[in-house]
Amino acid sequence: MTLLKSLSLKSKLILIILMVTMSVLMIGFALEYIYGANKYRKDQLDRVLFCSRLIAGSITSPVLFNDEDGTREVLSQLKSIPNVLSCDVYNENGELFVSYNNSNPKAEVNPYDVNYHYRLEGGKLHLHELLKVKTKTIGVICVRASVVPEISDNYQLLINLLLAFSFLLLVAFIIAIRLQVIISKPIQDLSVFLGEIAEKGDYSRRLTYSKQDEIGTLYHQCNYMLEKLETHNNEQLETQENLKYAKEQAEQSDKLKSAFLANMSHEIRTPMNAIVGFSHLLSGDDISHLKRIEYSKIINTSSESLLNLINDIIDISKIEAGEIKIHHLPCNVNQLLEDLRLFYDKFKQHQNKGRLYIQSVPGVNVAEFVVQTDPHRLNQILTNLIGNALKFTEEGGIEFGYTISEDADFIQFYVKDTGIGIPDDMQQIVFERFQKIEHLHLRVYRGAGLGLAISRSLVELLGGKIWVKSKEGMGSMFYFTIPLTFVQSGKMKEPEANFGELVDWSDKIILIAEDEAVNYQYLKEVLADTQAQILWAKDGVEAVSMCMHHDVHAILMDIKMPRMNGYEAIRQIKRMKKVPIISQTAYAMYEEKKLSFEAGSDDYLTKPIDCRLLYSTLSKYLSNN
Amino acid sequence: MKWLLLLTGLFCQGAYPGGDYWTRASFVEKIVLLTEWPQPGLGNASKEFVIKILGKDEFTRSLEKYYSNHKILNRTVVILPIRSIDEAGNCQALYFPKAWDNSSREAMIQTVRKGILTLGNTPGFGLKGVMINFIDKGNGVGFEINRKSMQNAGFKISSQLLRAGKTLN
Repeated sequence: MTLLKSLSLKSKLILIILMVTMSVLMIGFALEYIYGANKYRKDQLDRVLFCSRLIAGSITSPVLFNDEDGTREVLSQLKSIPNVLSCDVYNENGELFVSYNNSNPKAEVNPYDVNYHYRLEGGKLHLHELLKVKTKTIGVICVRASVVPEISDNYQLLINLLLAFSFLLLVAFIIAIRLQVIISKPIQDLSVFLGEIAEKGDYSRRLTYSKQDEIGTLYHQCNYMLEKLETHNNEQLETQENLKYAKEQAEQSDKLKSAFLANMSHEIRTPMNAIVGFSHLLSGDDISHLKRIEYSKIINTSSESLLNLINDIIDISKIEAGEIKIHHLPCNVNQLLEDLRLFYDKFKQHQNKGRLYIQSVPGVNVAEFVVQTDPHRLNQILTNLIGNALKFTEEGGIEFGYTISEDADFIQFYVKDTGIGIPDDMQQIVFERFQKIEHLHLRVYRGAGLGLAISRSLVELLGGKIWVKSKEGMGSMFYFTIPLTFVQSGKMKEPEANFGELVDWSDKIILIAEDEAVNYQYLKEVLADTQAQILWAKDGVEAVSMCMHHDVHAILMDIKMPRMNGYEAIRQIKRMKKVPIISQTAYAMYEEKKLSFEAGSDDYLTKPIDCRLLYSTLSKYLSNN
Repeated sequence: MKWLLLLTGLFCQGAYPGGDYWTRASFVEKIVLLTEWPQPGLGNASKEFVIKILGKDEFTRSLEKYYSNHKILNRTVVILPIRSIDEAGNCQALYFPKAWDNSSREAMIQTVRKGILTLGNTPGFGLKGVMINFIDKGNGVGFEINRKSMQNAGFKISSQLLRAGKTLN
């Protein structure tokens, strides 16, 4: 049995078929042998009976007329029946009349006393046949015969059976070899197929088998398993790809982080250097009035530069976090371009580039060309592009404007300069973060490398696209599109209160919760012209306490404070009374803003606080009061 | 009893030398067994088998002796001597002794027509028309069968009888 287990499937099948065939043949031949032996016995019995009757009929008259010679002559015919051993004939008196082939013919018993016709005993037949003429018994014939095959006959029979057995076994062997293919071939094919799959790992291959039997089911299950494996493998590959991409992204982020830190270090320290340095000079006693004005301007410019950098960083963070929200409002495009032209016409003077021309070219020559878009973001994009153009242009000038697409679906803006241009290999990456054009041979340009990245993101958020055409040394032309949705000019939003407008809040009490004295001082100075009464709480606990004891009309609440932070203070004050609270914090991210509003804040201002925005925000609440 | 009969037989054979008449007498019964009588059969309501003899000789005496203890076809055998062929009616067999004058052929024919089995014990009688004529056969006894005479008389002869006897025609 162990040997059988170790055999191949093909050998097992052949062996099983041969064993079954052999068993069936052996049983069949055994039955045939038994049947043959019985048939032989019966045939011999019938033959002896028949011959005995025949002999009996033939010897009736010789016996009747006492003709011994005639009787003997008839009995001599028994020679032709080899299995007749002897034959005795008795007359009507029971006396032995004639005997054939009997060495001891004397009857052991009176033949007429025998009460059987024939009897089988030890393979020998004892037959007693009465000789009758009509009803008269004239004698009896006693025959002894062998009804079992001779040993030689047995040998011959066995040899014949053995030959037949061998021949049939050979036939069964040939048939088994032919038929085993039906089962073993598909199994072998399956084994080879799975071996190839395991070796090459190609799970997309499938088995084909048309028959609906168990092997067909096996093939179907294998195909199902391969489908699962293929799916799993694809998922694994996809995961690997994702991991690889994530790794690359992480590496890229790491590089960007390094670039960011390097850039920031430079871009922060440069204006800071001017601020700190000129602030120090400004504090001197022997400084002239003109120098004081000049230093103040430098400090102011550097501060704005630093603020712009910080705003860019916040914007790019918001874009990456998906926190930038687009607010579609009516926007007078021509007015926007004109404002920008006026601004940069003045600004170029500050940049010592008064020789450059600044030109806006409206695509639609009407006073109010109003479209539905986010005016703030559109302004931000154009400011970035024009600011860049101004930065990289030393001769010639800057032209910006827009055109309307032929099917009036898009409005396409452009900003054209005659600056240093962008090398071909840089044109594809100028919109990536922290990518800067360094004109190494001539000079280094300041900037964090975020402006174009922010512009691209904002253009995409507005539903358009941005691109550049440039030739190094010849200038650049930036294009971007936004969807064009016309708005009737009458729907323009009324401008909010602007910085510089005179307000009288002398009957108002404004609580400033701020732990930093400098920040408090700044706010106090900004609000001084409003004549509002200013209260100062140095932490959240004081803010809550002051609210309990004063009829405060508005609260400017810092978030990060000792003892009790702004969130908790807002919650407690809101539980006490209904007073507008405007969060003012250096936390500029979406999460902080969200937490503030969840705590109960009515509005939100980020530091550094723009005076105009502060006024307009406070006006919303104090005017209502 | 069988031994006694055997001894009687031996004695009788000894009593009738030269002819084995006892055997011949027993043959009559056996021949009748192998012969089918013409319709209406044996007749004779008395259930007797009547053998008429035309004259006595050694054989007729053996017949009388033998059939005093034996029956034919389960009938009592009656041996009746007659003087002429005219008395041959109402019998089943008719024996012609050696001394019988066979000149009257016409009488023979009449006898045959009566369905009577004719017996003889004389060489040449068979050819002359006697149906069964006992003869010597080697050391034993045989008989001739005049098949034509038997067929003419309406007898049917079994093949066994034909095999046992010598058929003349």
